[in-house]
Amino acid sequence: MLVDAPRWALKLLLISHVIAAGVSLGASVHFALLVRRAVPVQSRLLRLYPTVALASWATLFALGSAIYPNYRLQVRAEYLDLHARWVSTLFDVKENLAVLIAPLLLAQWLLTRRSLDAQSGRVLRACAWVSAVCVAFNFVAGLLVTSYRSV
Amino acid sequence: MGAFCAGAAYLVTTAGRVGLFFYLPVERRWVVVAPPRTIAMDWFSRALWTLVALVVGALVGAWIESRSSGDWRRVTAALWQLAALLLSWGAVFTVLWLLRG
Repeated sequence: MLVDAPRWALKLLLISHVIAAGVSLGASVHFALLVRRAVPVQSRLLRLYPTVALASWATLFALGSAIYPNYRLQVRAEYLDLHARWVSTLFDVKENLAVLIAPLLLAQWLLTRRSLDAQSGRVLRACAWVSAVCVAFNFVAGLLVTSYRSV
Repeated sequence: MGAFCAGAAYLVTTAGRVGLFFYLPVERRWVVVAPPRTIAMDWFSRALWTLVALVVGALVGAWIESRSSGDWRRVTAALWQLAALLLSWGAVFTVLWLLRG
């Protein structure tokens, strides 16, 4: 846990976190668009996007966990809870949604590694669209929180 | 199976407040019971239990699937519907809980 890490290290981790979020958003949205047909066309991208989405989520999760205690003390407790309470609530929604996205990302990764019938195609589309919407929400929420105050 | 277990674990730890432990960033230590008037973070334990349940559930589901016949597809479909319900419920509960808090 990086509570008292140098500011440059925290900034570096935060920027890496944002870059991973951008990669996750790109992969999730592209994948949702790719599987919008009833039975998606088999292609290399059908396996690539879920892998990138899952790997970038894991990176996001690790980086976010590392800087979270610092955020809790120096951003939320010292500023957001005093001046912008709704922003800290928005962050809490975002962090919990990030946990709930994991089953969807893992499911879509597993489903693209087997032959798809109509039923698994429906599940895959649901996972892809819900996770893309959640990742987009988290991306915007994260930018908004950071625009108020960051580590 | 993994999504179902993860949704259940998330709801149990979030709504039931069961199995939580806390990180105290000021004191930099982990505790089972958070002292009053202290900044305590329970997200790590909630995330940990949810992810452990996800991985264990996915592995158990894959193991059962490899040993079972055709009927498992119907069970999987039912589990998916329950998982969707649990995960949606978890998300709605979290939003309402945080807005109320």
